[in-house]
Amino acid sequence: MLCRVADSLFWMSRYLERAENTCQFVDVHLQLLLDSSSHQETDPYKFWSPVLFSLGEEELFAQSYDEYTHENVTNFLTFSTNNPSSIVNCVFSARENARMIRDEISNEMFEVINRQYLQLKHKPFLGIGQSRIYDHFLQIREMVYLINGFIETNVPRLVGYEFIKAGKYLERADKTGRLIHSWVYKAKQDEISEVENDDYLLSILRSCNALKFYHQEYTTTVLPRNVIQLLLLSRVFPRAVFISLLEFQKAIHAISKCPTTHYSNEVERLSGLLISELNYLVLDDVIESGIHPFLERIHENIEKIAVEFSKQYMFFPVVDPTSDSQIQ
Amino acid sequence: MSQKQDSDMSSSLLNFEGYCCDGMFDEMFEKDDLSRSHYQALKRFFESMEREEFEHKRNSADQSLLRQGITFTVYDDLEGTEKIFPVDLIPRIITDKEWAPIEQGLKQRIVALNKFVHDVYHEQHIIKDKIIPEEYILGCKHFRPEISGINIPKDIYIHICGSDIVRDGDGQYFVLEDNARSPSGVSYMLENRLLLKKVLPELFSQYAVSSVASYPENLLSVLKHISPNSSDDAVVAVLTPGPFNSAYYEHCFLAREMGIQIVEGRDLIVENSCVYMRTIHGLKKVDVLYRRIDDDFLDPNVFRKDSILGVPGLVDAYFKGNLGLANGIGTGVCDDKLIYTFVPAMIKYYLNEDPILPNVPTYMASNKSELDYILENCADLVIKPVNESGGYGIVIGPKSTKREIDECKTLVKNNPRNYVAQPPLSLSRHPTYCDGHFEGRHIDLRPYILYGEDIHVTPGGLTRVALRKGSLIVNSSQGGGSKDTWIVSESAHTNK
Repeated sequence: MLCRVADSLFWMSRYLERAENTCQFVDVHLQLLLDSSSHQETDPYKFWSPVLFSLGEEELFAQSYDEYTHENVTNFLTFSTNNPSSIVNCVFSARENARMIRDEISNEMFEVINRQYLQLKHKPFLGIGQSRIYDHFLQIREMVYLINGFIETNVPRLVGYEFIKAGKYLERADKTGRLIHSWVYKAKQDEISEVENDDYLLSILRSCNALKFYHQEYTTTVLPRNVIQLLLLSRVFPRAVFISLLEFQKAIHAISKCPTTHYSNEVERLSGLLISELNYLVLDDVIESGIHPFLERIHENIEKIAVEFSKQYMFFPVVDPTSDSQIQ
Repeated sequence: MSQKQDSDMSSSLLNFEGYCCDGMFDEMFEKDDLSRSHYQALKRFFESMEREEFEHKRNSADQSLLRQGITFTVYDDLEGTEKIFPVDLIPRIITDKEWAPIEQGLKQRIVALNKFVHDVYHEQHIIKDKIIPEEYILGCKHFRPEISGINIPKDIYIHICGSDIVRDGDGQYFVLEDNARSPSGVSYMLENRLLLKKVLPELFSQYAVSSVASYPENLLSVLKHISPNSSDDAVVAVLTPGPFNSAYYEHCFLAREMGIQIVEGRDLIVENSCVYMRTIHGLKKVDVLYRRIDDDFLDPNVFRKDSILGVPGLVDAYFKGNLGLANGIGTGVCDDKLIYTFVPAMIKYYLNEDPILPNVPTYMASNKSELDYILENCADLVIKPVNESGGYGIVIGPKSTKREIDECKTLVKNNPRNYVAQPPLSLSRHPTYCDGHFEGRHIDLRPYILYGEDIHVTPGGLTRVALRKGSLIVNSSQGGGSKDTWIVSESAHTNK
């Protein structure tokens, strides 16, 4: 497989996952905004800055807009063409990547992405007050689910498939991690143990479709510690950081054909290290010694893994083709 | 259109009533009310179709092209807009009897052109024997002295050729120009056929239509034929300039149909005069490239230094015999419209045969007496720059203003080598669905000729149609559309 093709498969998949995550996220936050309790404190800055922080988009937002208004932030996250990670741009970029690898993916898959692209390109963008915006979010999410279905049913289980999975799960681990981080950022760490049924905490669970599962798992009200446990460390909940990283690890070892008991490159080493840390840590100790720097470090590690991954497969240095130096 | 007309239209059957040939050669009608025998089944078929149903078929055809991304990019702004190349659902029909001499003529032509390219880059007999003046050849924009004296695999330069064919007012076929670099459009030919089979299956059952489906396989065997690596597992790839190229869809399409990789320049690297592609597990050797990049951009070491599309060292690999390249370098001499005028002479010179397909009579501005004729009769001629493609820069005298003609004259006078002129052909027309009824529109034909172990002409090709009323320009970038082209067995259809 060409490095460029691997790169496009990886990014197509990341962008689709990002579009879906952001749709859900913005959707939940807009609804939260309409709730009376948070409506009272409609200071847009207070409301949105944790969100922008978690997405790492604070700076870009400040450059693009003069002030924090609900309208501006929503626009920035959804329909802005200046924000590379806005929902619209995610769909556009996914489509652009898909277009470059049309010989790798099925026609149906391309058509589904292309249809969404054509719709977004030709429809006037909606404001946050309009109910149709929710249809929009739903449509985009359904598009992503449909693509995931195509991938599972149509794509041969060869390296291409593993690059798609790697992109999806790395993005998901990153996004869920950021979501937890945004709450910690908002709540300030000393308050963690005291809050219950906090609106924002609930909306985070909703953003991950995890509220129902939370109630199945825990008999208590929604407590920060449990939310962190579920979203960060769950071995069964598909959006949890831990399980996403496990899936990512499976994919990258399938690419290199190196067993997970060993590692053959830096990206495998770093992922293994992070996974084993998450696997064996004691959450209460972590909270005690400071959850904020801990989450910061997780986030940095995921970024490092992404960088190493692209170094390993997309832009690796040219080696002499006659010498057979592959470690496999 | 008013509401009332709309409702009238939706309830009626399609018809050809009032169709007018306007005294021009029409592919379907001998006279206004008399259709040619091989079109009669088609006429009956459409006359029994509800207009509403037809409109529905048209709509879904356009939608399906757009959804599948079967588009080309028009750069009229920075962003570039993707457009579909509209398909008119009425197929163009040519009988096998009529097609046979065209096929023979095209084969004859590609053989002569290929001998010519070899000669130009070797002994240059054709210059020494004073058939073509030396300065005409050396003056070609696409003449590549760099490849002089180089021998290439199987001595084939032009593997894929598209020689455009038109018919004049008497129905006589002419070759209008040769495209020996990288003729595009073949994906439209193949997609049009798939589309029509889906939309009008009943019509196919009334004709014995020659299949075009084997084109990708034929192309792949041509490419494997020129592999320096004689084993069966030769690695063949399509080299594209990338997604921003207007024909990117076609490049992907062909790669997918042939089951081979599509690569960009940045995917390739040359080491020890061999070409490799960068894969996730290291470098992999490439034996043959079907390149859709012009000579100029192929290799910054040899041609344009600023090319970021190409691969440094690629031409060296080609020269050392480690890479098959289709088409070969330097074939652009055949696309020059001044050289075009000599093709009948080439056929005589290299093959000692009479040309089967004639050229359109052409005046060369580089010849003093013909230049005078062109300048005097500019308003009655079509003036063409010799090196442009895509219909750019053409001035049609009878349709131009006095000022446009004066400007054109100045251009020709200042650079005679760069222009030729032809009498305006009244191109044949074909019924085409326009705004709710059938009207005659001018068409041409681009057949696709493949030259490998043997020569293969795909039966049919891409019929391009000038959708704007009266327009003679059929190119996709200039408001053209296309039609599926059927070569039908005459004996089979008259029995029905």
